[in-house]
Amino acid sequence: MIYIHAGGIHNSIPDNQLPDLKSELKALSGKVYRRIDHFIQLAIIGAHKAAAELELAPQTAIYMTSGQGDIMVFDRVRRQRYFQKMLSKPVDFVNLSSNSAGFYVATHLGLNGKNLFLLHHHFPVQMTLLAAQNELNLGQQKAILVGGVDEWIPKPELAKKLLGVDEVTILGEGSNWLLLKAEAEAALATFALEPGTLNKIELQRLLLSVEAGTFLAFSSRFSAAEVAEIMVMNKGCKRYHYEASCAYYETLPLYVLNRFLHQEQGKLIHLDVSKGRYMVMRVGNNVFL
Amino acid sequence: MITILGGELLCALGDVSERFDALRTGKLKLGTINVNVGGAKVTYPYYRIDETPRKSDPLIVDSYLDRVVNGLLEKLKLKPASLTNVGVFLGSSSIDYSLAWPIEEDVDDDFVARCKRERVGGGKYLESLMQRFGFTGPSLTFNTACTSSANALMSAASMLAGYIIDYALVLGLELYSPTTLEGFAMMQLLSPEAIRPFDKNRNGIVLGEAVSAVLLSREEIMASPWRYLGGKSSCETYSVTSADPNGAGVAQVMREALEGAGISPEAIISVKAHGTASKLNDQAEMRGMEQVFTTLPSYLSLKPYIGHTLGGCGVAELLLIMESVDAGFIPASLNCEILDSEFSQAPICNLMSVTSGRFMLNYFGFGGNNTSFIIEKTAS
Repeated sequence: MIYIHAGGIHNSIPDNQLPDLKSELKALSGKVYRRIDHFIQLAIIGAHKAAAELELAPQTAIYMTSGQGDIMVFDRVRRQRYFQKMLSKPVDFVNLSSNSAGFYVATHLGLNGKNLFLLHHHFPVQMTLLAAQNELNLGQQKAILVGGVDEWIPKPELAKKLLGVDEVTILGEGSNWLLLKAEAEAALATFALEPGTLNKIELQRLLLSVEAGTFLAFSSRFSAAEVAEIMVMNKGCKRYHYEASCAYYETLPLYVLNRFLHQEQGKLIHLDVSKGRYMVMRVGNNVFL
Repeated sequence: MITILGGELLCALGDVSERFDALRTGKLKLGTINVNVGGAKVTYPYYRIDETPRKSDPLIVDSYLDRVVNGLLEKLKLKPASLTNVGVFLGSSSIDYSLAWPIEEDVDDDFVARCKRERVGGGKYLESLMQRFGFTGPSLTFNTACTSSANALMSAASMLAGYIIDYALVLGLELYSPTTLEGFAMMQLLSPEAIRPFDKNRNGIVLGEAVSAVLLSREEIMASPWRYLGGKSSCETYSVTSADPNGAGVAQVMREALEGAGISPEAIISVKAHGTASKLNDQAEMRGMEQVFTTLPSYLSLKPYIGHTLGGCGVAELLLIMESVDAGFIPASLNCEILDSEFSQAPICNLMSVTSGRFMLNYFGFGGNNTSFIIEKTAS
């Protein structure tokens, strides 16, 4: 068992225009950063909301994940190279490595621990949390800030195709973070991730043991029919609705966990699915009441 | 105890017998490559795996990854199906290969219509590989610049230690990328002639390609004379492009790696330095080593043999050390003709006879990434 000690949400649905995060970051932190782009601004804002008010140990690690990473700087560099026939700026070249965002988050928060940028084709949030949960349980890390950062791309038609989502999907952007520790003292909630992917029968078996009153949240990959089927089979559970408050981005599960912890008391099971395999995360904040 | 069962490597040195020969004799296969620097074509030294034409085609990347995984399984006489509960971890600084094609193609208005509705992104290569080999366990792709595959290996070892998985397949990937070459050229980090780690006249890095695979497990599942003892990774916020040249951050990560491995500095036989031959990196690393070791152990850089293979160097250089020690030696650190006068000890200048012992492997990268881990080969 590991514990959530803090969380931070930055979640928006851009109205066909890239949000101005530079001024938001300045207003929030009072600092002006040079040599950073939209993706890095987004990362810092979310991490700041989660942890800026806390006294973090300098060794606190940063494990960041994303669906596509700093995609706009990648697009910009390639366009400069192939179409404008010019060299990219050094700052853009360095920031091509999305891990640069973790460097600026560490700088902002005064951290010097491990800084990873992690990706997974189906479950970026869950696989990142799996690494964090394991290293906390082993005592290899004492505290880890886990963040999911996805930026909105100003070409939504192309973006939807590259994300593999249908054309009616509305795209959003977000930077949502959790501070995880192995110690329970002063925690906000418990966290547990089933370490493997489950098939449908294994999922149903797991849900049978869930206590009444538990909230169930479904990722946007679930069909309405499958959600209805699971809710019928688990009548004692309550559906946790978050969908109206956000648009699609790939690290949404971290938004859902954070939103639940900010707004509800109780236990939540977050379900995600890809290609017939399921991943299950549990949080609970009523155990500390 | 985490065991290292073996590996497979594609790099500029050729197949295993050619690698063995090059590591013993110091004969290199250094090629050249033309790089567009502000409209001018400049020729730089470059270490290529082979002469296959490269383009932004995901299938080329897949074919190299398949070669190393098949080669590794063949060497260990294993079938993919025999690797039950295997996790797969990939480290590369170029996670965006699969995005290169669609964005590069976006030259005309028809592209959006032509583009397939299919997710691309940094996890794509590993996902495809897992499908081809039938692996179903956890997987993660790491992009932490030049420490990517070193960090992938360390996280894989943690997953084994936590009994999340029973085998870990760790891959390092770095292939030709014009954007990367031009970026380093633009930052004036490329040497025009050769990579000279720790030399007074070192003048920059030489890039190279490497694709590699290594298989880890736990002692009770599959024993091996090679073991991973522990490591440490940290983020030094001195600068996004270099460690503090005073060596403090580098020293800290080496000390903590030794602590994690449960050994003293005196137990280290040899240090595989990151040794990029950039002015600041070599300075930071030497200063760091001087702070950690009362008496410096022998040290070397492998980059004169295969170039700086960026995110791929974690696994590629690990395998070169293992192959060398298995053959009874540590190779000479090439191209250090005049030691930088600020450094207290020269790297290994002749083959060193070694058949077992504990080795420190260092990797540093953009984004403040400092990584160090310790491996051991037992005498038996």
